[in-house]
Amino acid sequence: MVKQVRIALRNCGRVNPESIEDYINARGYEALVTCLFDKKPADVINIITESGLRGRGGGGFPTGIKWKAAAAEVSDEKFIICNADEGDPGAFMDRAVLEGDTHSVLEAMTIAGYSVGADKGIIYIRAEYPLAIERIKKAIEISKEYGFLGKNILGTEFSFDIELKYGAGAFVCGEETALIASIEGKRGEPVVKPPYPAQKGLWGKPTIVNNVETFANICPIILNGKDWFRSIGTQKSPGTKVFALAGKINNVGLIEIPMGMTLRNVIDNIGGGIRDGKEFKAVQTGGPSGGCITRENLDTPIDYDNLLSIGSMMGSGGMIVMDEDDCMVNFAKFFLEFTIDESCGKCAPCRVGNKRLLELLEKVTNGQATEEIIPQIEQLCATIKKASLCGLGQTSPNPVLSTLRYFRNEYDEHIKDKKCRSKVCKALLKYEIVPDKCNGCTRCARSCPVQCISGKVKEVHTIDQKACIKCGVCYTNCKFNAIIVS
Amino acid sequence: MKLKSKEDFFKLKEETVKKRAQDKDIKLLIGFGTCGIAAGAKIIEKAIEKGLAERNIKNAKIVRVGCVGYCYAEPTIEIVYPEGGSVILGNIKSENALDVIDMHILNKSFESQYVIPRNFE
Amino acid sequence: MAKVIINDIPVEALNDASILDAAKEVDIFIPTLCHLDLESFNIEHRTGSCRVCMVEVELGGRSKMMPACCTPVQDGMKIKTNTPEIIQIRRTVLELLLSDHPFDCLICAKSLDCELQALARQFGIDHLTYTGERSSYPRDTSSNAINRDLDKCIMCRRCETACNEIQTVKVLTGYKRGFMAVVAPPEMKPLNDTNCVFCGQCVNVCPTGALTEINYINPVWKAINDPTKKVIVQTAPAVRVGIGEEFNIPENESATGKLVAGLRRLGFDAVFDTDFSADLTIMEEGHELINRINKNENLPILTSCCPGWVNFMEYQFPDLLHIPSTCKSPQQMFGAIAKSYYAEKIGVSPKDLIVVSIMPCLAKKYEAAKPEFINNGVPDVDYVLSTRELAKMFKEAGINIAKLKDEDYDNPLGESTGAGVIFGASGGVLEAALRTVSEVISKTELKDVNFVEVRGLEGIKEATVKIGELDVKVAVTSGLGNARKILEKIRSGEAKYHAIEIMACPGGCINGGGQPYIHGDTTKLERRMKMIYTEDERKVIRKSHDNPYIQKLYKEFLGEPGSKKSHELLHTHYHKKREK
Repeated sequence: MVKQVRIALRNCGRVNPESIEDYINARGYEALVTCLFDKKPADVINIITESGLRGRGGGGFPTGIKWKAAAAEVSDEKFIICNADEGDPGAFMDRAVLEGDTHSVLEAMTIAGYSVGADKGIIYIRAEYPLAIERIKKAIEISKEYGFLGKNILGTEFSFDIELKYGAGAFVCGEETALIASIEGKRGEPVVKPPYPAQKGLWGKPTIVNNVETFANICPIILNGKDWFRSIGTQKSPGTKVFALAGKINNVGLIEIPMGMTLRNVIDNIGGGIRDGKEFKAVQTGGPSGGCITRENLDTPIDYDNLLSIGSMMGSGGMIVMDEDDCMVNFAKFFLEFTIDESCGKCAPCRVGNKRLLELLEKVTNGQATEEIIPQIEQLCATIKKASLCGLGQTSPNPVLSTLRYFRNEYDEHIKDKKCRSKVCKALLKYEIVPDKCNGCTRCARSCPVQCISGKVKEVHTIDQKACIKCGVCYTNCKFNAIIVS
Repeated sequence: MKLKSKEDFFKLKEETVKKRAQDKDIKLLIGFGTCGIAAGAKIIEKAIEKGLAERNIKNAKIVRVGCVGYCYAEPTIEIVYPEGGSVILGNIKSENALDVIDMHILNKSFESQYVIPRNFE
Repeated sequence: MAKVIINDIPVEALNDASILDAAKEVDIFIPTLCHLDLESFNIEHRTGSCRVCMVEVELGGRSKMMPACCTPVQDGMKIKTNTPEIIQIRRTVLELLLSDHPFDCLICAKSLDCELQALARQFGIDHLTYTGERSSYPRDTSSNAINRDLDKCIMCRRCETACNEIQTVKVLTGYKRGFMAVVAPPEMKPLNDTNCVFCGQCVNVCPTGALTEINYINPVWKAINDPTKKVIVQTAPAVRVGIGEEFNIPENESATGKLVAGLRRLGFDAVFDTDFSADLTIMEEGHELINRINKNENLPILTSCCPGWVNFMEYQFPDLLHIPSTCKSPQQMFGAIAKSYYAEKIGVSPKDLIVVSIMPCLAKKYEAAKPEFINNGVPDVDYVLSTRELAKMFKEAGINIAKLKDEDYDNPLGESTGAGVIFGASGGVLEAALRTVSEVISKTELKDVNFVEVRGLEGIKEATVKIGELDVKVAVTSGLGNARKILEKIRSGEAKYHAIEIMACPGGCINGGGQPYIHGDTTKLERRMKMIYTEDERKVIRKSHDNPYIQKLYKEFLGEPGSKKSHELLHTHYHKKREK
């Protein structure tokens, strides 16, 4: 039996997040005590570096190296930022951790502060997470009462404080430089790196930005050691990853799996298979920055590098399962619409390029495209990918590129045959009445919003294809299955 | 209570662990994440409280926990027995409260139509 | 120093130099659009948003496209600036920008002065691969100074740097997201409803036609051709050192006489000089300064010639409204004298006398329309044209001033001294005042009228000048960000001066919001400044109080500086403006 392995989610559903006793009972704050009393900051960074932990926000940058860079900087002030601006469509693992195991994030941030020499932590959280905010506030308060936060933590020289900053729901503020700009009260838009935040971040000071899930991994690594962590997952991507499993799958939910598990296992075993016995088509990972994984890659072990090599990415952990009813062109369009809404609009390739890309895809799904459109799409994707300023833009064409790579046939069908096999792209659908089945009940004609169905009572009806807006009302209203879609 | 040293911490920890080990109540862990609450966790909590009172059960305690990840089966309750072992129940409705109490608290059954598979350690 | 290789050429560059700068060292030019380097002011705008300057950078075995303008060189970088892939990316980015741009180049105010247009030409773009929806925003003509046509905004953000960083006026921000993103005041407020001071620095840096001036060429043409009107014109000091650039007049040649000749050919009834009223300003402001110094009260005195600065003060430093000089600006003094003294002299009713100003400035348009400068519905100054608008009028009328023989200004409002002309450069007003004040106080003739320590493009200049027994401490600032620094020191009592000159635009009026575009070439400003002082040196009379026509004006009309009549006509008052 294939099972989840829970590191980041270890306490979620096990402890009362509002009880510090529950947390202490679950080895809470032991990692902090160990660090403060038995380890030098450099030792802590070494453990994290050697554990091979990589940023769980999506980029997969080695956490220890980030910490080391910030630790190496000489500055009167440094900052630890927890990125809780979760914005991938369908992903909510950060919320689950913050709501379910609040103290573990505070503890890990404090450890990070100790390691790099920062005394100020900021949790940048979306304002749409009121419960998480409430629990964090309570947890900060009680941690201070106990002396796990604040001045002279546990009687040591080390002081660390955490405050909350609210994001207003801009996806791009998940990008670390945009997040920092937002905390500074500026428009949430990325700036060119280098300098990296570890060198010049918040208010120009060395700053570490780590995602919630990354922080949730810190304490277990300190407590159980780097070797234990490395024993889980793969060589290059040790540990686990939390995914929000969604889409056409039976057991939708939050799962934490060891890196290296195959997608097949995730879908068949943990996810309980495809819903309604339909046929699997693809899985999308990495949200709007990712791509799709198809049947042929079902047995690829999931880790950062493998996902990149098959044209997708880990991302923050959205995992959307698609079946035969999903149109891949439409699917790419969906993510692109999201990107266009969420782009900050700063750089030209992302601001204008993605809009034009969407317009090209719309041509495909509307049946207005000709064969030259594919090279146009490809060239535009290449420019957006290479020339955009931040991660959002650089990855935004991925859903298009990956569907083009694996489902070129569906694009071709839309373009050449003007057909959408999944019957999703409305403009390409054709509603027809089967004369044999129609008994002239007039129900379809009466319900048609544009009055394009004609026929006398008890006689076979016909749809005027030119006037039809493909709304599908007749189809749903016909009691005799006399209307077919093709 | 401000902890001022490593010793303070381990003393507190020891006390806490000991206290917990002595706690012989059955725990009903109800998923109280945003998702659980949205799915009706608060209603379930009330129904269970009422049911426990009705059955005059004193050795069971409700604990509000975070999200366990079983989105497809919210609201969920994990019942943890003091002697070891637990069972996860899903898709609970308030009218199932007494049923759940009878089967899983009074009879300590590990099986029922409410049980969903646990796929993690 | 970092050693890098650019297109196979080894280059050594300073460690924080950008790839763009390093490439320039070996004459490799990388196209840019959003980037702007105002070298003389040490201000570099490098937001990296247009992505036109992308180059391929190989470092540590990894290769990546990076923007050359804002990527610092690192030892060991191998940089390619013009592979087919890079050129294709640049082309595509340009095409994308063009695909969201109105194609009204032929009728665009910035045509041939547009950096996007220039790049499109440089890349030989002759068709668009990508077309689609275009952004559309309401045009903002709410003010009488700045025209905002956001359909042409390419999000280079230069105007934000100008407004927020340089001027610290802070009315512009990136607004809305994604395809709808544009630079605008918060909530897309019209400029008139913001704290905008209309300095026009945003217009000066805008690469496209998104920000231009509100154009008054047509009403001026109408006035000139109205037989019932007598139309006179005044030219601000900085106009004469800017206008030549529009007609390729050689750099070291004075354009003043040609400017006068051109204006006469346009049909103005008399061509006068704001330098005259600059001299008048010195008489009044000098009088005020001497008074305050003698009484040792209400110091420092701040100059009040610059309407951008006056606006800034009314919004942001209302608690200091008592310290600026009460003198109107030279433009408004001219208008007031023209519509009283001069109108009387030539026997024309003020309403039939039209005063047109040629100004290097956009705030002057706003200033001329202020209610306090309108008497019984008759404004002291009727129309204000920028240097750029005047150049357009000349071209429209087929006048190439480069070909014209020099002519002189008319009298009586056209005679001026060297002190008047230096108003055009930062430090000039103060220097002119010092020339007069020191002679009046010390009652001896100055040996050297040049106060060089207050000249130059630096943002804040300080000097102590010995006048008689007194050490007069003066400061000169240009650029409102620098003004803010000084004003905050005054507010806190940290700074003690007798007089401070403040100009809204960095460098003063030579870099005004109405001057010919410099496209980031600040050496042009240095030249303009040099020409201002050359004009000064060429003048026989270099002190305002020696101007015979000024003396005559006081004798015939005003009485003496600070008289009741002077106060009526030449002084004003300031209002606290509510922050919007």
